[in-house]
Amino acid sequence: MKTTRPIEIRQIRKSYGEFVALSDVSLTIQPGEFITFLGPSGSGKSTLLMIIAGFTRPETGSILVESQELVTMPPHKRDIGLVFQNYALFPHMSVEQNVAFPLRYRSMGRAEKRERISRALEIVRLEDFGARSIDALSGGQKQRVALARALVFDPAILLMDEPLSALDKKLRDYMQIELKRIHREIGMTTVYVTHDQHEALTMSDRIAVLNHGRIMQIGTPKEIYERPVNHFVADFIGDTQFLPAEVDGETARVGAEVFRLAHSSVDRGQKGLIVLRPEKTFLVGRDEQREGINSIECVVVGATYQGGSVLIEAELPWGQRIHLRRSTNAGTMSTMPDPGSGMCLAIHESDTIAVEDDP
Amino acid sequence: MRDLHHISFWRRSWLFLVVLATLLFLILPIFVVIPVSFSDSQYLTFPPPGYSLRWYSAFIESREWQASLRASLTAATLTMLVATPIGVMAAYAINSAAPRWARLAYGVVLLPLIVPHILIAIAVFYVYIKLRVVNSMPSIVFAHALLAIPIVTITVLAGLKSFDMKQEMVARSLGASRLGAFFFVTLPQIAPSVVCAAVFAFATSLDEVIVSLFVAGGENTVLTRRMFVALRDAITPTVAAISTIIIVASLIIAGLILLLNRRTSR
Amino acid sequence: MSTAGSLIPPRTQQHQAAEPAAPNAVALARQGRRDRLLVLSLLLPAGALLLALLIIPVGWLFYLSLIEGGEYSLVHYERIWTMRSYQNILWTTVKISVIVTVICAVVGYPTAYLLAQLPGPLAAVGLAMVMIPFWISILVRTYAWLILLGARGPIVPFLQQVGLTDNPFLLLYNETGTIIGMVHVMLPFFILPLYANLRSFDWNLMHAAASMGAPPTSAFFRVFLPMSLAGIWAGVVLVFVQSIGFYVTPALLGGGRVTMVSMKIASNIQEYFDWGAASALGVVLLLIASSILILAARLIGGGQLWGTTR
Repeated sequence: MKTTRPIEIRQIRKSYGEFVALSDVSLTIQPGEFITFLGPSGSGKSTLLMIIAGFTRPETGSILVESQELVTMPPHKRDIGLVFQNYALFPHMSVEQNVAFPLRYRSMGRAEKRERISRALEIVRLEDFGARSIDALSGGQKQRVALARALVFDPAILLMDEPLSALDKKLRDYMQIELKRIHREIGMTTVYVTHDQHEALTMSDRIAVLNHGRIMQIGTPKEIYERPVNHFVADFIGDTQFLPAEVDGETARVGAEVFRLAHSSVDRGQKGLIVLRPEKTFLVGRDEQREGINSIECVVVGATYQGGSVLIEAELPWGQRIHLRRSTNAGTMSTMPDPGSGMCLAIHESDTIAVEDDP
Repeated sequence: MRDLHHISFWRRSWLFLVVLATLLFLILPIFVVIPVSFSDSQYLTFPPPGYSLRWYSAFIESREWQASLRASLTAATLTMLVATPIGVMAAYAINSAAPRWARLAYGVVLLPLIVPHILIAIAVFYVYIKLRVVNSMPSIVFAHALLAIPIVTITVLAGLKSFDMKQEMVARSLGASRLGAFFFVTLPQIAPSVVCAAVFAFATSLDEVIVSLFVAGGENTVLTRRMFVALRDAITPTVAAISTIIIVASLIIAGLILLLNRRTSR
Repeated sequence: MSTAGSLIPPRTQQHQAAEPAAPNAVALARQGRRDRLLVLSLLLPAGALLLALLIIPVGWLFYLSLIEGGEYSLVHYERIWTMRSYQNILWTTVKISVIVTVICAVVGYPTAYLLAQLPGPLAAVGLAMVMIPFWISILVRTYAWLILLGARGPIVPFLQQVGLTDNPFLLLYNETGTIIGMVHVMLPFFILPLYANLRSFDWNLMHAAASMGAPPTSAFFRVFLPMSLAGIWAGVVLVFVQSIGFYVTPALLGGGRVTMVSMKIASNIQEYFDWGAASALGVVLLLIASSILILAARLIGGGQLWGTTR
């Protein structure tokens, strides 16, 4: 890749009248990395992308690439490939003309241009589609052409704004794997914007979770999922439930029990929330061994058979109801608790984390 | 399902008759002009007592009418060339400005459609007298362009509204300047509406009467002005011959635009 | 990585301490201004032309309307208010415009109503018949009426033979001729916006009304008419506002016996070179037209009024 130095984004601030779209956002994008901006709509993720591309102008901020300031540079000098959700292909040009478009503005021999175009079409596996008109392509093919067009000039950064959300689910899953393959093959620095957590977890080297114009957390998919730093991140990613707790360093008081914590972002003595993921939560009998396990008494109130799993609903002493899943193999089915039976809701100590409650 | 089957046909037949009469009223007069243009009488008798081509040859042989035709076509062509780029620029600006400013600018650009033409006519006349440019071709063209620009802007704006500006963004990020992106990506796609707008501008100039009565005389007496005077002072079937030519030309232009619109909507 | 779950806020605070509080703020603001200027410059040619040929001169005329004999005076407006001839002109203008508007509404409504219900191809033919006059020069159309309504046209000689009249100029060179000609010009302006309005009407409502036992006429008056009121008003406003500014049709079909405001403005200048009088009348015309338009836009929504024509 061209860029061997990180992209330093510093103190980007943007507001629309009263509404603050981004407040002092800073992050560093490593060369060759696939980074995803993940957040709900209105979180500022697309605004940040458009600021990097140069179509939205922030009030303040700096984007440095190899000590060159991008933020005051016009879009066409930034050397950025851009892919939109609606493809934004030029319908009056053929596939090949679309892919050739960025090369008009770059001086290189005719042979090299042809070589680059066919290489780009090869990467997206549309070798034989060069002469086609845009109207004759399917949605997935259009997205590939848009990608080839954004890659053909070997840009410093590739920006993608929800590129797969216009595709149906099956195609979307396939394109996720394809995008990942292409990223592995040519290793371009990629900034990807999505509201789809599954997409973000599948594809990214790192994820930046945004909310209300701020970066809530930035880290690898595993860090984001396993070690969320606050209520928003824990809640936004995964099918999460919370137990109220009083955190005291490495332990937390939950109801009448004391849980040992693997990780906590809560100050000593503060109220916090224990993060429960359905796949990490399970039931144990009240008289069973509980070594290395945090548990709290509960009563099973219902079980719903859902094919691959059984959804169990359990009520805690203070009336809160928690859902958990059990797979439906013969082993688990034979020990399925009956409604009304008293059990313990359990979670491994190494899976137990506490986050701050929202102020 | 639009048929109101519960209302029986005979109860609605009066409606059909009224509408048919209205539609005939709308188009019939046009088809009166055509036979009269082939009349051999010098009076406005309808139906004509006999047929001839004498009014067409009168038109062709008249130096004055020919000069007016030339003046009209020149003015219309130049108006088109002036008003189209100006209107396209205005439409582009309105399309990309913040909504509040866009609405204001649009309102101002549409002013010539709202102000009564007689007021525009004397206003322009007043300026031209002060500048001593009455009856000159450039001043006729600017006056006509004033009236054509709102129509061009409306038409091109409609084209831009259905164009995805993200394409222009992509083009710019791929290396095109603003101007390059406009010419290579935007313009080819809004071309039908621009051509449509140009035809409208041409037709606006060719059709304009009131402003021309004040500022388009002398050597540059345009066709509409000469026709107006002829109709007011001494009506001859020469006007019918010219009118027939105008009708045919207008219908060709209308058909052209219809064709263009159909191409764009596909 | 060991930075598992590291919090960003403390990090950003560190950067804030090390770097200026607002990097590139000045340069970015300058670029923002330049961008807005670029958009503004695209409006410059249109703006310049509007300013030079419309806004400044109309302002100038307004100023002239307030001058008589080198001094400020409202005498031009007083004349419009008090002089018999001006009152007659204003009365004629309003009377003819009202009659034209009413005829357009009465004749145009059934046309739009039926066209909106007809199946595609038939509606297209009907619409084409409405649109064709739009495309023909107003002079040509006026000329056609000169032939049709004239002493040698098909109508008047017939009436004379039947003995209904002995006046060869029954229909021409008077208000009747003017009104016929103006209705012909204005009718499409009424039908087209109303047609657009009716096209979007949900005809199922009529079926619903009928299925609940409403007789067709009652369903029409209680369901359909109220729903199409916005379209009717749009058409009425468009027709009336244009009618009060008419020049060509009354000048030719009125044969000098009908004087409307526009014609008086023209003759004030062409015959008397009285800019003050012409301007005052022009200002009155502009005020009437624009106040009706503004009022209508407030009441029925600008989109209804503007979006539907052409």
